[in-house]
Amino acid sequence: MADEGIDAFWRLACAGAEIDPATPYDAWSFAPPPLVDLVLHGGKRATSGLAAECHDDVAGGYSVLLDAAGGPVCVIRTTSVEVASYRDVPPDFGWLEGEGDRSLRYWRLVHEPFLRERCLANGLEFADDTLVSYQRFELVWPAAPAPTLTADGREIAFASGDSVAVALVRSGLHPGHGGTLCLAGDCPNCLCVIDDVAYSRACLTPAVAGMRIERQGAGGTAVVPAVAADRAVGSRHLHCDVAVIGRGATGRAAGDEARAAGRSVIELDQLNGEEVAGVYQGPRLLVRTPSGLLHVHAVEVIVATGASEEQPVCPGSDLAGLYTAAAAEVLDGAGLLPAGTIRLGAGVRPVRFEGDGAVTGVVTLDASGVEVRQPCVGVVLDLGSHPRDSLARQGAGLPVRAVGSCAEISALPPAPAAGVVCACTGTTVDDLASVWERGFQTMELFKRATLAGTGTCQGAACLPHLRAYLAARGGDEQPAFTARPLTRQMTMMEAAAGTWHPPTRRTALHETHRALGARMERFGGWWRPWTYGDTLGEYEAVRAGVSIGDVSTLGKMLVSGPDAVGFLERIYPCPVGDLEPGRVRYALLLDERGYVFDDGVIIRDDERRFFLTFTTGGASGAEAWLRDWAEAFGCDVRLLDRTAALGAINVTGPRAAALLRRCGLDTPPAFLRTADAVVCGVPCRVLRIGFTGEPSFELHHDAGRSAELWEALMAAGAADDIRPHGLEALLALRLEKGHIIVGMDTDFDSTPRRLGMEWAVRMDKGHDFLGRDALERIDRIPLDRRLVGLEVDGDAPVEGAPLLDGGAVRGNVTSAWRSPVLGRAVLLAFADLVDGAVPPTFEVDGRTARVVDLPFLDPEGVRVRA
Amino acid sequence: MSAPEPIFCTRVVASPAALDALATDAVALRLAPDDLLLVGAVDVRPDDPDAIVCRDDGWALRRMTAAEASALVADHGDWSVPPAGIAQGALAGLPVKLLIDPAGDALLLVPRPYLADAVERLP
Repeated sequence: MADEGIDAFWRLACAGAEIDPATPYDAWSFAPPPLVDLVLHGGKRATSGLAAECHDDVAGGYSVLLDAAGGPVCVIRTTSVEVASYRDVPPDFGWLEGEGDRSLRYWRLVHEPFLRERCLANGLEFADDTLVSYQRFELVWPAAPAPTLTADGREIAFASGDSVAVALVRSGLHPGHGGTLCLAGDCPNCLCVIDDVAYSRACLTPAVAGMRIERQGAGGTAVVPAVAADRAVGSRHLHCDVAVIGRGATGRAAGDEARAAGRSVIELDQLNGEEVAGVYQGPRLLVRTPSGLLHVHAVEVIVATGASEEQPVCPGSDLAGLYTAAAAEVLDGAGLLPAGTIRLGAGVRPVRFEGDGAVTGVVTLDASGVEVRQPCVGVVLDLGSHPRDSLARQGAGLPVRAVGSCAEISALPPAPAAGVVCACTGTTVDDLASVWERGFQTMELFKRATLAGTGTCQGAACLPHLRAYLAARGGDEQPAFTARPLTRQMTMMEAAAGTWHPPTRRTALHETHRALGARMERFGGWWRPWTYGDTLGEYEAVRAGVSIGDVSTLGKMLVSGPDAVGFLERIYPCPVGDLEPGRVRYALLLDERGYVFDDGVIIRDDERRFFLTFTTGGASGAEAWLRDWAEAFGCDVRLLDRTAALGAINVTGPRAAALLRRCGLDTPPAFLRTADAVVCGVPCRVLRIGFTGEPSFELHHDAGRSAELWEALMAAGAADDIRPHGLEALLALRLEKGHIIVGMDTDFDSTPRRLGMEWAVRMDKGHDFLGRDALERIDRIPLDRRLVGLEVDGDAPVEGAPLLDGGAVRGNVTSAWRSPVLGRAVLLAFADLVDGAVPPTFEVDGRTARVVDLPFLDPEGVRVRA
Repeated sequence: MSAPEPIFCTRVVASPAALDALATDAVALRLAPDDLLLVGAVDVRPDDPDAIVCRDDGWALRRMTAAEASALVADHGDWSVPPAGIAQGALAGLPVKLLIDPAGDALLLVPRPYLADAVERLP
């Protein structure tokens, strides 16, 4: 639009706003221009720029604001211009600029880059003391409609800059049904449910158009609304040398001093929407802000939260129309202090307030002690103040110190004689007396017995009165009660901010399994395919044909070094030094108490290098276990956890070897042997094992090639009706073979003897090993129970079912499966020994379970070695 | 910022002295005195007969600026980011490694089994 267009707009505005059209004006746009929308619709009433570029800004000047296309949008009038350093940004500027969450933090976030850029353009260097022009303005034309919010279902108008509490007073509503207003966040008397968030302090919450307010009331219990899950709260961590709580004169001075000493400083102030709710070890501050939670990690914390004004305790102190001096100043500034409000002199204490709902009179004592009644519609009190030191007290023992009036010691008020002491909990002076008489006479007990100080203000209003009462009754001043986080209520969303459930790992074949229709389950910290939809078919493929399974979740470690053999001899209860390169050996892992906590295999690559596997669940602890013991033993070994780097696919079944031959493995390794080979073009370490009871070849390979290898095996096995098997089938297959699952068929105190696995321990191997001493001691004690195999006709009982013998519980089932091959249910179970022997039968699930030798299938191992 | 993507690396576990003496132009993360992670396929031969040198497919990598890394850590971790060097810790409950070079570039490495969670949790 040409200048003529802007001029025409100006003349239109002048006519509408009764301005002399000859008045000079400027025309400009924000950077970025869309900010002009915030002027019209978002309450933006300030702007700021590099002072060096803002010489022409003067109070009283008019501006036509332009949009991105240069078109005129509205007319504003500058009401004030203040030049100050970037560091000394006026505390209300975050709110007045109207951007983001309207916090000062957001203001800094967007203005620092902007000012840096402008400094660069002007050949200046940006710093904390860079001068900034802070300009406040009012919207002149078109006139903005008065914004409204809804309070207790009623639409009320408010003025720009109002807090919710002021907006309520403006509409004739006492914010919280009664009680002295401090308008400083110290008392519970203005609590409201604001936009579904209960226990919100109306005095600290800026009024925003469209807000929904329900007055809650002092001591009132809010009906906590259900909050939509999409209102998730974010969290952010900041680090600094010094965190200063409170940006009053004392706090700013403390911050300046720290900065001058070269320390990084973060300043926080609830007037900027930064409400410190707790001081934790670290120290770490938990800060509520409109945009989420802040965790401020500081080397030192300075608490400069000032003092809170004393509130009266006397009959009628819960009436509406009572104000502290500071609150009266706020209301007076907004033109809301009612005519007929009287001010009591400094230190003048009311005897009682009179009225019904709202105050109509106040009674005080004159110099001669005679009651004097003054009629009024409001009372301003000036009872002195007490340190607002809850956060400082929370930081006891931490590098947290209070400064200014927050650190000062104030005189206690006279002991209260009647009335409500703690407005949060409704505790009265009579309650205090009752508790005192029952012997609760120290501050901590007093607090617990009365609940005074446990409410939303955490003693900010009642603590001086409690201390005064105890001093009067007991004769000694007692210290304040312990302050603990939180000082403010938080929503459940805030409590959950920044927390995550433990992640579940995925193998490189995760999507492959899903594409095959697998039902994925969490097992041992991994997502694993439980079944592809036909567990029996998967089982039969293994027993009669060929199948593949994803065993990438097995723990895998490389160990090398001059002490590798000696180290592993001390780790494992089986011999290691006699293992020849290319051989595989099953091994238990014992802790120092001789209990089994994991199992796996040992593969020897060469004289000084080994490859180890661990269970899925034990993998995450295996590396730490080995590293700790290597250090403890002083062994010179290299250790590398290969669990995430290597995928593993188990090719199993009577036709597995034939399949692998077709895939390039000309000579599949014999049982318990290993070989390096290229299978389907993928380099693999091939381990011949037999967990399923059938010939099994684990193909360990680079995880990045897992999908390629899986697809190639499936394609090559199509002629054999190859199908993948899930974990459910695998658990059944291994059960028939009598193989244990550590954690499922073991308890925390399972020794090899209790598991019937003495064969996996060689006490005479010539090396000390972890758990050896314990096993020697345990073996001198008669065996009391052991893992046994049982058979039951019919379906499998549930895992965990008790073993009964003559009505007595003699053990429990650990694994169960109805075997299609055997035609009956097979079980692993812990059974108590009776007179040194396992009874031949038990009752399980109302049926007779017969003890049988393990394994259930192929006891000679013919199939697995085929 | 782009999402993390699977990469392959070279893992070298050797005596600290052998790793100290190792010369390579590859992006290197010294995870521990005896543990070195090199981004990409790198042919290195540390002076240690027992060294373990192998391809490592266990990682996903995301490139970003140091400023973006700082913001990411501030939003999802409780640790502070050093001006340069390697940092390790949890972000959004996931174990990560962060390499920041003095030029202002950063690499975020996530164990590959957590890749899907990283995409979801670290937008």
